[in-house]
Amino acid sequence: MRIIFLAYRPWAIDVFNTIEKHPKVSESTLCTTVADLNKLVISKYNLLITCGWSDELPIKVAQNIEAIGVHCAELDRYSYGSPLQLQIIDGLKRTKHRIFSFTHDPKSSRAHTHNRLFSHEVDLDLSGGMEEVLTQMTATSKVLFNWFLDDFPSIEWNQWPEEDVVRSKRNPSDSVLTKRDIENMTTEQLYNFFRSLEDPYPNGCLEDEFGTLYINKVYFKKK
Amino acid sequence: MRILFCAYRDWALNAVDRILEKNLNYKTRVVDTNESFKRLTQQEIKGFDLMVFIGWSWIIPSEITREILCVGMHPSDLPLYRGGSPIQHQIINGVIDTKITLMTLSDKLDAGEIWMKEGICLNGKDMTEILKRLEDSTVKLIHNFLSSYPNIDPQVQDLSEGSYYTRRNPYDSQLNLDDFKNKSLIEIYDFIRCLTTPYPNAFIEDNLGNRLYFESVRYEQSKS
Repeated sequence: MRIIFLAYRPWAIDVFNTIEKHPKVSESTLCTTVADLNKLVISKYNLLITCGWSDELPIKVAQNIEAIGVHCAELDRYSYGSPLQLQIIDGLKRTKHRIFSFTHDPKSSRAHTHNRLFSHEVDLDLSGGMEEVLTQMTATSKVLFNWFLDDFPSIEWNQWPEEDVVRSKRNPSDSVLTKRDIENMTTEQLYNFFRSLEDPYPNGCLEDEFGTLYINKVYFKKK
Repeated sequence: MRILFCAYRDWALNAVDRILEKNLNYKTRVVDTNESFKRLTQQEIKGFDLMVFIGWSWIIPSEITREILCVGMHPSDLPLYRGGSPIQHQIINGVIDTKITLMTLSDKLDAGEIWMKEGICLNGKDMTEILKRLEDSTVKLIHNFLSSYPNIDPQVQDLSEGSYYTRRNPYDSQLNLDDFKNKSLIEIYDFIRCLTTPYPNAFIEDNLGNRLYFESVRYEQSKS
Protein backbone atom coordinates (compact mmCIF):
# COMPACT_ATOMS: atom_id res chain seq x y z
CA MET A 1 0.00 0.00 0.00
CA ARG A 2 1.04 3.56 -0.62
CA ILE A 3 0.94 5.99 2.25
CA ILE A 4 1.46 9.67 2.90
CA PHE A 5 2.91 10.56 6.31
CA LEU A 6 2.08 14.10 7.41
CA ALA A 7 4.01 15.52 10.38
CA TYR A 8 5.99 18.65 11.27
CA ARG A 9 6.86 18.32 14.94
CA PRO A 10 10.24 16.61 15.59
CA TRP A 11 8.74 13.94 17.92
CA ALA A 12 6.20 13.07 15.18
CA ILE A 13 8.66 13.06 12.27
CA ASP A 14 10.68 10.48 14.25
CA VAL A 15 7.75 8.07 13.83
CA PHE A 16 8.10 8.00 10.03
CA ASN A 17 11.17 5.73 9.92
CA THR A 18 9.20 2.96 11.60
CA ILE A 19 6.06 3.33 9.52
CA GLU A 20 7.85 3.28 6.17
CA LYS A 21 9.32 -0.11 7.16
CA HIS A 22 5.94 -1.75 7.82
CA PRO A 23 5.65 -4.86 5.57
CA LYS A 24 2.38 -3.65 4.07
CA VAL A 25 3.87 -0.30 3.03
CA SER A 26 5.29 -0.37 -0.49
CA GLU A 27 5.71 3.37 -0.92
CA SER A 28 5.74 6.21 1.59
CA THR A 29 6.00 9.96 1.21
CA LEU A 30 6.79 12.30 4.08
CA CYS A 31 5.08 15.70 3.98
CA THR A 32 5.82 18.38 6.56
CA THR A 33 3.52 21.09 5.21
CA VAL A 34 0.10 21.33 3.57
CA ALA A 35 1.94 22.79 0.55
CA ASP A 36 3.91 19.50 0.28
CA LEU A 37 0.61 17.62 0.52
CA ASN A 38 -1.04 19.70 -2.17
CA LYS A 39 1.73 18.80 -4.62
CA LEU A 40 0.82 15.10 -4.44
CA VAL A 41 -1.74 13.26 -6.53
CA ILE A 42 -3.80 12.08 -3.57
CA SER A 43 -5.71 9.46 -5.52
CA LYS A 44 -2.48 7.49 -6.03
CA TYR A 45 -2.26 6.78 -2.31
CA ASN A 46 -4.24 4.40 -0.07
CA LEU A 47 -3.87 6.09 3.30
CA LEU A 48 -2.89 9.42 4.82
CA ILE A 49 -1.26 9.07 8.25
CA THR A 50 -0.98 12.27 10.26
CA CYS A 51 1.08 12.44 13.41
CA GLY A 52 0.94 15.36 15.86
CA TRP A 53 -0.93 17.31 13.19
CA SER A 54 -3.14 19.87 14.88
CA ASP A 55 -4.54 21.74 11.86
CA GLU A 56 -7.52 20.88 9.71
CA LEU A 57 -6.99 18.85 6.57
CA PRO A 58 -7.91 20.58 3.30
CA ILE A 59 -11.42 19.39 2.35
CA LYS A 60 -10.27 18.09 -1.05
CA VAL A 61 -7.71 15.91 0.75
CA ALA A 62 -10.07 14.63 3.45
CA GLN A 63 -12.73 13.74 0.90
CA ASN A 64 -10.40 11.79 -1.37
CA ILE A 65 -8.35 9.58 0.90
CA GLU A 66 -8.80 7.69 4.13
CA ALA A 67 -6.95 9.68 6.79
CA ILE A 68 -6.01 8.86 10.36
CA GLY A 69 -4.11 10.52 13.16
CA VAL A 70 -3.16 10.06 16.79
CA HIS A 71 -5.05 11.84 19.55
CA CYS A 72 -3.78 11.88 23.12
CA ALA A 73 -6.94 11.96 25.23
CA GLU A 74 -9.58 9.62 26.58
CA LEU A 75 -12.35 12.09 27.40
CA ASP A 76 -14.37 13.90 24.77
CA ARG A 77 -13.87 17.23 26.55
CA TYR A 78 -10.23 17.20 25.43
CA SER A 79 -10.97 16.89 21.73
CA TYR A 80 -11.13 20.63 21.07
CA GLY A 81 -7.38 21.35 21.01
CA SER A 82 -4.39 21.47 23.43
CA PRO A 83 -5.26 18.05 24.88
CA LEU A 84 -1.88 17.44 26.55
CA GLN A 85 -1.76 20.80 28.29
CA LEU A 86 -5.38 20.72 29.44
CA GLN A 87 -5.17 17.21 30.85
CA ILE A 88 -1.93 17.92 32.74
CA ILE A 89 -3.30 21.20 34.09
CA ASP A 90 -6.48 19.37 35.15
CA GLY A 91 -4.31 16.97 37.15
CA LEU A 92 -4.74 13.83 35.03
CA LYS A 93 -1.92 11.36 35.57
CA ARG A 94 -2.70 8.95 32.75
CA THR A 95 -4.71 9.07 29.56
CA LYS A 96 -5.08 7.24 26.24
CA HIS A 97 -3.22 7.62 23.00
CA ARG A 98 -5.55 6.65 20.17
CA ILE A 99 -5.80 6.29 16.43
CA PHE A 100 -8.64 8.54 15.30
CA SER A 101 -10.38 8.90 11.98
CA PHE A 102 -9.40 12.21 10.40
CA THR A 103 -12.42 13.60 8.58
CA HIS A 104 -13.49 17.06 7.64
CA ASP A 105 -16.77 18.31 9.02
CA PRO A 106 -17.18 22.08 8.84
CA LYS A 107 -20.03 21.88 11.36
CA SER A 108 -17.92 20.20 14.04
CA SER A 109 -16.48 22.40 16.75
CA ARG A 110 -14.05 19.67 17.78
CA ALA A 111 -10.51 20.43 16.68
CA HIS A 112 -8.92 18.18 14.07
CA THR A 113 -10.77 15.13 15.48
CA HIS A 114 -14.11 16.39 14.07
CA ASN A 115 -15.72 13.06 15.04
CA ARG A 116 -15.43 10.63 17.95
CA LEU A 117 -14.21 7.58 16.04
CA PHE A 118 -11.16 5.71 17.27
CA SER A 119 -9.70 2.29 16.52
CA HIS A 120 -6.59 1.36 18.51
CA GLU A 121 -5.49 2.77 21.87
CA VAL A 122 -2.68 2.49 24.42
CA ASP A 123 -2.12 4.09 27.82
CA LEU A 124 -0.18 7.33 27.92
CA ASP A 125 1.59 8.44 31.10
CA LEU A 126 1.36 12.20 31.62
CA SER A 127 4.03 12.52 34.32
CA GLY A 128 7.35 14.36 33.89
CA GLY A 129 8.35 17.19 31.63
CA MET A 130 7.18 17.69 28.05
CA GLU A 131 10.34 16.12 26.68
CA GLU A 132 9.50 12.88 28.51
CA VAL A 133 5.87 12.95 27.41
CA LEU A 134 6.72 13.66 23.76
CA THR A 135 9.42 10.96 23.72
CA GLN A 136 6.80 8.54 24.97
CA MET A 137 4.35 9.71 22.29
CA THR A 138 6.92 8.92 19.59
CA ALA A 139 7.02 5.34 20.89
CA THR A 140 3.25 4.95 21.36
CA SER A 141 2.57 6.43 17.91
CA LYS A 142 4.86 3.81 16.35
CA VAL A 143 2.97 1.07 18.20
CA LEU A 144 -0.46 2.45 17.25
CA PHE A 145 0.30 2.97 13.56
CA ASN A 146 1.89 -0.47 13.28
CA TRP A 147 -1.21 -2.06 14.83
CA PHE A 148 -3.44 -0.09 12.50
CA LEU A 149 -1.44 -1.14 9.45
CA ASP A 150 -1.40 -4.77 10.65
CA ASP A 151 -5.23 -4.74 10.74
CA PHE A 152 -5.79 -2.54 7.68
CA PRO A 153 -8.23 -2.56 5.91
CA SER A 154 -10.33 -4.50 8.46
CA ILE A 155 -10.49 -1.75 11.02
CA GLU A 156 -13.05 -1.83 13.79
CA TRP A 157 -14.09 1.70 14.68
CA ASN A 158 -15.49 2.65 18.10
CA GLN A 159 -16.82 5.93 19.41
CA TRP A 160 -15.74 7.59 22.61
CA PRO A 161 -18.71 8.84 24.68
CA GLU A 162 -19.87 12.37 24.02
CA GLU A 163 -19.67 14.92 26.84
CA ASP A 164 -21.32 18.27 27.37
CA VAL A 165 -18.14 19.61 28.95
CA VAL A 166 -15.80 21.40 26.58
CA ARG A 167 -12.19 22.27 27.44
CA SER A 168 -11.37 24.89 24.86
CA LYS A 169 -8.07 25.12 23.00
CA ARG A 170 -5.45 27.18 24.79
CA ASN A 171 -3.99 30.42 23.46
CA PRO A 172 -0.46 31.74 24.13
CA SER A 173 -2.01 34.39 26.41
CA ASP A 174 -3.27 31.55 28.65
CA SER A 175 0.37 30.85 29.54
CA VAL A 176 0.50 34.03 31.66
CA LEU A 177 -0.04 33.68 35.40
CA THR A 178 -0.60 36.60 37.74
CA LYS A 179 1.13 37.01 41.09
CA ARG A 180 -2.27 36.29 42.63
CA ASP A 181 -2.36 32.94 40.81
CA ILE A 182 0.95 32.06 42.47
CA GLU A 183 -0.61 32.79 45.87
CA ASN A 184 -3.77 30.81 45.20
CA MET A 185 -2.43 27.71 43.44
CA THR A 186 -0.78 24.79 45.23
CA THR A 187 2.79 23.95 44.25
CA GLU A 188 1.49 20.82 42.49
CA GLN A 189 -0.94 22.90 40.41
CA LEU A 190 1.88 25.29 39.54
CA TYR A 191 4.14 22.39 38.66
CA ASN A 192 1.50 20.94 36.32
CA PHE A 193 0.94 24.33 34.74
CA PHE A 194 4.61 25.06 34.08
CA ARG A 195 5.63 21.55 32.97
CA SER A 196 2.75 21.33 30.50
CA LEU A 197 4.09 24.52 28.89
CA GLU A 198 7.74 23.56 28.59
CA ASP A 199 9.38 23.84 25.17
CA PRO A 200 8.21 23.53 22.41
CA TYR A 201 5.06 25.21 23.78
CA PRO A 202 4.68 28.87 24.85
CA ASN A 203 6.33 28.74 28.28
CA GLY A 204 4.40 29.60 31.42
CA CYS A 205 5.25 33.10 32.59
CA LEU A 206 4.55 36.00 34.92
CA GLU A 207 4.33 39.60 33.80
CA ASP A 208 4.80 42.92 35.54
CA GLU A 209 5.13 46.48 34.26
CA PHE A 210 8.86 45.98 33.54
CA GLY A 211 9.00 42.60 31.85
CA THR A 212 8.13 38.92 31.63
CA LEU A 213 9.62 36.07 33.64
CA TYR A 214 9.39 32.81 31.69
CA ILE A 215 9.54 29.56 33.63
CA ASN A 216 11.30 27.10 31.31
CA LYS A 217 11.76 24.09 33.57
CA VAL A 218 10.58 23.06 37.01
CA TYR A 219 10.49 19.98 39.21
CA PHE A 220 8.32 18.99 42.13
CA LYS A 221 8.99 17.26 45.45
CA LYS A 222 6.06 16.01 47.46
CA LYS A 223 6.57 16.02 51.22
CA MET B 1 58.99 28.74 40.38
CA ARG B 2 57.20 25.75 41.92
CA ILE B 3 53.44 26.27 42.14
CA LEU B 4 50.67 24.24 43.77
CA PHE B 5 47.21 24.78 42.27
CA CYS B 6 44.22 23.84 44.43
CA ALA B 7 40.80 23.54 42.82
CA TYR B 8 37.92 21.07 42.95
CA ARG B 9 34.95 22.59 41.12
CA ASP B 10 34.62 21.81 37.42
CA TRP B 11 35.00 25.41 36.25
CA ALA B 12 38.04 25.89 38.52
CA LEU B 13 39.73 22.69 37.32
CA ASN B 14 39.08 23.78 33.72
CA ALA B 15 40.70 27.13 34.55
CA VAL B 16 43.74 25.38 36.04
CA ASP B 17 44.11 23.22 32.90
CA ARG B 18 44.02 26.32 30.74
CA ILE B 19 46.48 28.21 32.99
CA LEU B 20 48.91 25.28 32.83
CA GLU B 21 48.65 25.19 29.02
CA LYS B 22 49.77 28.83 28.92
CA ASN B 23 52.45 28.70 31.62
CA LEU B 24 54.67 25.76 30.81
CA ASN B 25 57.82 27.15 32.44
CA TYR B 26 56.74 26.45 36.00
CA LYS B 27 56.95 23.25 37.99
CA THR B 28 53.36 22.67 38.99
CA ARG B 29 51.17 20.26 40.86
CA VAL B 30 47.38 20.21 41.10
CA VAL B 31 45.38 19.15 44.16
CA ASP B 32 41.67 18.59 43.61
CA THR B 33 40.33 17.55 47.02
CA ASN B 34 40.71 18.90 50.53
CA GLU B 35 41.76 15.39 51.62
CA SER B 36 44.64 15.42 49.13
CA PHE B 37 45.60 18.89 50.36
CA LYS B 38 45.61 17.72 53.97
CA ARG B 39 47.79 14.75 53.03
CA LEU B 40 50.61 16.99 51.76
CA THR B 41 53.70 16.46 53.94
CA GLN B 42 55.66 19.31 55.50
CA GLN B 43 58.45 18.58 53.08
CA GLU B 44 56.12 18.70 50.09
CA ILE B 45 54.60 21.98 51.30
CA LYS B 46 58.03 23.55 51.75
CA GLY B 47 58.84 22.53 48.20
CA PHE B 48 56.41 25.11 46.77
CA ASP B 49 57.09 28.82 46.23
CA LEU B 50 53.45 29.66 45.65
CA MET B 51 50.04 28.13 46.26
CA VAL B 52 47.09 29.25 44.11
CA PHE B 53 43.56 28.47 45.34
CA ILE B 54 40.70 28.74 42.86
CA GLY B 55 37.12 28.33 44.06
CA TRP B 56 38.47 26.60 47.18
CA SER B 57 36.01 26.27 50.07
CA TRP B 58 38.28 25.35 52.98
CA ILE B 59 40.31 27.51 55.34
CA ILE B 60 44.06 27.15 54.82
CA PRO B 61 45.95 26.61 58.11
CA SER B 62 47.89 29.68 59.18
CA GLU B 63 51.08 27.59 59.54
CA ILE B 64 50.99 27.30 55.76
CA THR B 65 49.86 30.83 54.86
CA ARG B 66 52.58 32.29 57.09
CA GLU B 67 55.30 30.20 55.50
CA ILE B 68 54.40 30.23 51.81
CA LEU B 69 52.70 32.82 49.65
CA CYS B 70 49.12 31.55 49.23
CA VAL B 71 46.86 33.47 46.87
CA GLY B 72 43.19 32.87 46.22
CA MET B 73 40.67 34.09 43.71
CA HIS B 74 37.57 35.63 45.28
CA PRO B 75 34.72 36.39 42.84
CA SER B 76 33.97 39.94 43.96
CA ASP B 77 35.46 43.42 43.80
CA LEU B 78 37.09 43.26 47.24
CA PRO B 79 36.61 44.62 49.83
CA LEU B 80 33.01 44.39 48.61
CA TYR B 81 31.23 41.07 49.19
CA ARG B 82 33.82 39.44 51.42
CA GLY B 83 32.66 36.16 52.93
CA GLY B 84 30.47 33.41 51.54
CA SER B 85 28.39 32.99 48.37
CA PRO B 86 29.70 36.23 46.79
CA ILE B 87 28.26 35.55 43.33
CA GLN B 88 24.78 34.85 44.69
CA HIS B 89 24.80 37.89 47.00
CA GLN B 90 25.92 40.18 44.18
CA ILE B 91 23.31 38.92 41.73
CA ILE B 92 20.52 39.09 44.31
CA ASN B 93 21.58 42.69 45.04
CA GLY B 94 21.38 43.55 41.34
CA VAL B 95 25.14 43.76 40.64
CA ILE B 96 25.92 43.01 36.98
CA ASP B 97 29.40 44.37 36.23
CA THR B 98 31.89 43.44 38.90
CA LYS B 99 35.42 42.11 39.34
CA ILE B 100 37.16 39.04 40.59
CA THR B 101 40.08 39.59 42.94
CA LEU B 102 43.35 37.77 43.53
CA MET B 103 44.31 38.22 47.18
CA THR B 104 46.77 36.82 49.67
CA LEU B 105 45.17 34.26 51.95
CA SER B 106 45.60 35.36 55.56
CA ASP B 107 44.21 34.52 58.97
CA LYS B 108 41.14 36.68 58.39
CA LEU B 109 38.71 35.49 55.70
CA ASP B 110 38.96 37.39 52.39
CA ALA B 111 40.88 40.17 54.09
CA GLY B 112 44.38 39.67 52.65
CA GLU B 113 46.33 42.01 50.42
CA ILE B 114 45.04 42.47 46.89
CA TRP B 115 47.31 41.61 43.96
CA MET B 116 45.09 42.06 40.93
CA LYS B 117 41.53 42.26 39.70
CA GLU B 118 39.82 41.20 36.49
CA GLY B 119 36.39 42.21 35.20
CA ILE B 120 33.41 39.89 34.98
CA CYS B 121 29.80 40.35 33.97
CA LEU B 122 27.17 38.54 36.03
CA ASN B 123 24.29 38.63 33.56
CA GLY B 124 23.04 35.45 31.88
CA LYS B 125 20.13 33.13 32.45
CA ASP B 126 21.92 30.52 34.54
CA MET B 127 25.00 29.66 36.55
CA THR B 128 26.45 27.49 33.78
CA GLU B 129 26.84 30.66 31.70
CA ILE B 130 28.25 32.66 34.61
CA LEU B 131 30.68 29.95 35.75
CA LYS B 132 32.05 29.71 32.20
CA ARG B 133 32.70 33.45 32.34
CA LEU B 134 34.26 33.04 35.79
CA GLU B 135 36.57 30.40 34.33
CA ASP B 136 37.61 32.77 31.53
CA SER B 137 38.24 35.69 33.90
CA THR B 138 40.19 33.46 36.29
CA VAL B 139 42.48 32.28 33.51
CA LYS B 140 43.21 35.90 32.56
CA LEU B 141 43.71 36.95 36.20
CA ILE B 142 46.15 34.16 37.08
CA HIS B 143 47.98 34.45 33.78
CA ASN B 144 48.47 38.20 34.32
CA PHE B 145 49.59 37.58 37.88
CA LEU B 146 52.14 34.93 36.89
CA SER B 147 53.42 37.19 34.11
CA SER B 148 53.96 40.07 36.56
CA TYR B 149 55.03 38.31 39.76
CA PRO B 150 57.29 39.08 41.63
CA ASN B 151 57.53 42.53 40.08
CA ILE B 152 54.27 43.75 41.59
CA ASP B 153 53.25 44.85 45.04
CA PRO B 154 49.98 43.89 46.65
CA GLN B 155 47.70 46.54 48.14
CA VAL B 156 46.33 46.36 51.66
CA GLN B 157 42.52 46.11 51.79
CA ASP B 158 40.64 48.87 53.54
CA LEU B 159 38.33 46.71 55.63
CA SER B 160 36.45 49.75 56.91
CA GLU B 161 35.05 49.89 53.38
CA GLY B 162 33.22 47.17 51.53
CA SER B 163 30.84 44.57 52.86
CA TYR B 164 30.73 41.11 54.39
CA TYR B 165 28.13 38.39 53.76
CA THR B 166 27.66 34.94 55.27
CA ARG B 167 27.55 31.79 53.20
CA ARG B 168 24.06 30.89 51.95
CA ASN B 169 22.33 27.68 53.02
CA PRO B 170 19.96 25.52 50.96
CA TYR B 171 16.95 26.83 52.94
CA ASP B 172 17.89 30.36 51.85
CA SER B 173 16.81 29.25 48.36
CA GLN B 174 13.14 29.46 49.37
CA LEU B 175 10.99 32.13 47.73
CA ASN B 176 8.04 33.16 49.88
CA LEU B 177 4.67 34.26 48.62
CA ASP B 178 5.49 37.71 50.00
CA ASP B 179 8.45 37.82 47.65
CA PHE B 180 6.04 37.58 44.72
CA LYS B 181 4.00 40.42 46.21
CA ASN B 182 6.90 42.69 47.12
CA LYS B 183 9.60 42.03 44.55
CA SER B 184 9.74 42.91 40.89
CA LEU B 185 9.98 40.00 38.46
CA ILE B 186 13.55 40.92 37.57
CA GLU B 187 14.45 40.56 41.26
CA ILE B 188 12.79 37.14 41.30
CA TYR B 189 14.58 36.26 38.06
CA ASP B 190 17.94 37.24 39.61
CA PHE B 191 17.17 35.16 42.69
CA ILE B 192 16.28 32.08 40.63
CA ARG B 193 19.10 32.31 38.05
CA CYS B 194 21.85 32.66 40.67
CA LEU B 195 20.57 29.45 42.27
CA THR B 196 20.50 27.30 39.17
CA THR B 197 22.56 24.10 39.08
CA PRO B 198 25.10 23.38 40.61
CA TYR B 199 23.61 25.41 43.48
CA PRO B 200 20.52 24.52 45.57
CA ASN B 201 17.69 25.56 43.24
CA ALA B 202 15.19 28.26 44.21
CA PHE B 203 11.87 26.84 45.35
CA ILE B 204 8.47 27.71 46.74
CA GLU B 205 6.81 25.60 49.40
CA ASP B 206 3.07 25.42 49.99
CA ASN B 207 1.27 24.82 53.29
CA LEU B 208 1.31 21.06 52.60
CA GLY B 209 5.12 21.13 52.62
CA ASN B 210 5.32 20.29 48.92
CA ARG B 211 7.96 22.12 46.93
CA LEU B 212 8.17 23.47 43.39
CA TYR B 213 11.80 23.95 42.29
CA PHE B 214 12.81 26.32 39.50
CA GLU B 215 15.40 24.74 37.25
CA SER B 216 15.52 27.16 34.33
CA VAL B 217 14.03 30.61 33.70
CA ARG B 218 14.50 33.54 31.35
CA TYR B 219 13.50 37.19 31.49
CA GLU B 220 12.44 39.60 28.77
CA GLN B 221 12.21 43.30 29.41
CA SER B 222 9.07 45.09 28.26
CA LYS B 223 9.58 46.83 24.95
CA SER B 224 7.74 49.99 25.94
